[in-house]
Amino acid sequence: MTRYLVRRVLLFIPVLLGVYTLVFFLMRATPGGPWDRAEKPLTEAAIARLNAKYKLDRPLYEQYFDYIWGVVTRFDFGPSYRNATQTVTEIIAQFFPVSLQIGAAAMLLAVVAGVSLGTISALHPNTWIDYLAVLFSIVGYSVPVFVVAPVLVVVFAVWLKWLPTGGWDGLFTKSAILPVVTLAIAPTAALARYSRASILEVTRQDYVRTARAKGLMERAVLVRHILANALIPIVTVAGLYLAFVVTGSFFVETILRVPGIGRYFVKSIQARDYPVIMGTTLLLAFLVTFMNLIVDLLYGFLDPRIRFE
Amino acid sequence: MSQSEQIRLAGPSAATFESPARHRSLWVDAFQRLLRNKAAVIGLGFILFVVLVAIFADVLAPYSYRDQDLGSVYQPPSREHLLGTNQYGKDVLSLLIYGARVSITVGLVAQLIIVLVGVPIGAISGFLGGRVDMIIMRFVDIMYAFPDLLLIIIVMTFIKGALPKAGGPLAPLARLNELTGGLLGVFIALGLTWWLTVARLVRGQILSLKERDYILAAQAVGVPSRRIMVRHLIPNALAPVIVAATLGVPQAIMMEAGLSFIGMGVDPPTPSWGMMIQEGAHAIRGYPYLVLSPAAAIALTMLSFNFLGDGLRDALDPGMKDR
Repeated sequence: MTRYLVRRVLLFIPVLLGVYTLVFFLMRATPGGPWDRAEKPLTEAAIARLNAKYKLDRPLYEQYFDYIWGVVTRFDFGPSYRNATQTVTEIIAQFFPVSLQIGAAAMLLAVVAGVSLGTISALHPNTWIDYLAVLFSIVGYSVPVFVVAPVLVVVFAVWLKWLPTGGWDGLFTKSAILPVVTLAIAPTAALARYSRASILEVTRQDYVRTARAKGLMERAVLVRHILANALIPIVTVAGLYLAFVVTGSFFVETILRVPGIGRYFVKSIQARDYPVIMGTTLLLAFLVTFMNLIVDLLYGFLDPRIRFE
Repeated sequence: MSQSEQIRLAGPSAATFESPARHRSLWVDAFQRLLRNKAAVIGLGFILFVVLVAIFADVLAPYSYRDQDLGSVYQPPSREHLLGTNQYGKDVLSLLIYGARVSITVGLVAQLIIVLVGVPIGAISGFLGGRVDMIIMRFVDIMYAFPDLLLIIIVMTFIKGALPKAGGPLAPLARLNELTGGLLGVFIALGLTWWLTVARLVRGQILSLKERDYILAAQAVGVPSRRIMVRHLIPNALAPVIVAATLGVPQAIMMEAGLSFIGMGVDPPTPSWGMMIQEGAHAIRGYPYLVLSPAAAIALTMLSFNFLGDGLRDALDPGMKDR
């Protein structure tokens, strides 16, 4: 177990280094720089000074090692070009917590709602409630988040006027409902679909029949025998959707004007703010890799037969 | 909808790919099974409709997507403009019709590129094994740790910056990109990032097929490896690739719309459903219909491809289940 953990954590290094290298060279190979302006172009002297200030005039390999050295030793992701008063670390510290709250809340909602929906629908197969759940899961699974978001805004904010059309006042306010629900829909749908299939399969196993035959209460059968054994595929699907929650935030935050890292990232891409793009990308890649490791470790707890080697 | 679920739950039926003598009847069988799946047929019907709209866009669209009429911006739906007009006074229905062209092209061409890149790499990796396999799969693993949208956005930033200025041997590509309104860039970005899944799938298929007796027999009689790969392994690994490609089409359509939504997809004025949603989202309070029509178009197209893909999976290999 310890050896497995160490090896998995060590694997972070090539993954993040690969991501760093790829992003670094793609961005440097892109013609045009952060100082390009459509209106009021900067003078050559000003550009040269800016390049010198941000060390963009140094040889490429020097920039490459300088930056990664700063990240590793000082946790310094460099300055932001677009927002001269803040460093990337400060920007991440300011905008990331909002995204983290929305993402975590959405994932929690998706697991609770998705597994409940899948369970109900598997326990009552081919009834109207099952059909409704299956319909929801197919629609929710196919419709992209940037389609769901504006439609929900139109219905709940513009027509019904129940919720604000955008903005952010904190997780426990009305303003959080639309971002969290929008982000949760696709994972809820997928979880409902896979937990239904998984539970239906487990329900037909002999040990479930045995449990019922020996007179266990239905609740105990459901929790101890059916759900406990159906969880592995459910956890796998939940793990797959972690990356979705991260990238989905780009759209949800942009449409709903939530001041999170996703919206900031989209703006930075449009402004070619290299250090911010790099910092955010590394952070998100780390997050996804880390969560994948957690999911893999969870397998061991859910199913003692799985050994880590 | 529930029908495809029921078929899936019914478990494996008789069809397998083991006997090459049944090869032709497999496709006929599969097609008949597909036609019995109502959701898949409806999906196929809608896809054909969108394809026809895309082909005949010039005839069907009441206005050109370039026509700006600043005298009639933000018109609600009316007899002249069935779905209203947007902030430039462009006819929304016409944009929707031309947008179908972009979506369908991206979906089909990008998927074709992905298959053309992914199948050979996966086949080589699975067939050769050893060090080649290890290097390719390590690379795929590293790429997998990366959320694909993030990677595609970064590749797109590069392409959007570099491609229009490309000279020398790449100059025709730059011209083609301009002619297609930036579509070529989207193809390249998707092709470069999404071959991974196909490659992995094909590799897995090849690995399991490699152990079959008929491959051993072919090797024993001295058939060259290239011929074994092209004539035996790849055709037999094809069914899951077809399903993955069909289910990949809506993913590509969604990705293009998403990229255009954040300004990283096709170049304006080429109309794209994603761009329409983004433009509509700005005026969502006053003019909600601007966002609803492209939203409906994307949603219905995605649903149709997913229905068709699910139907194909059940039809081609009922034992394959959710993969």
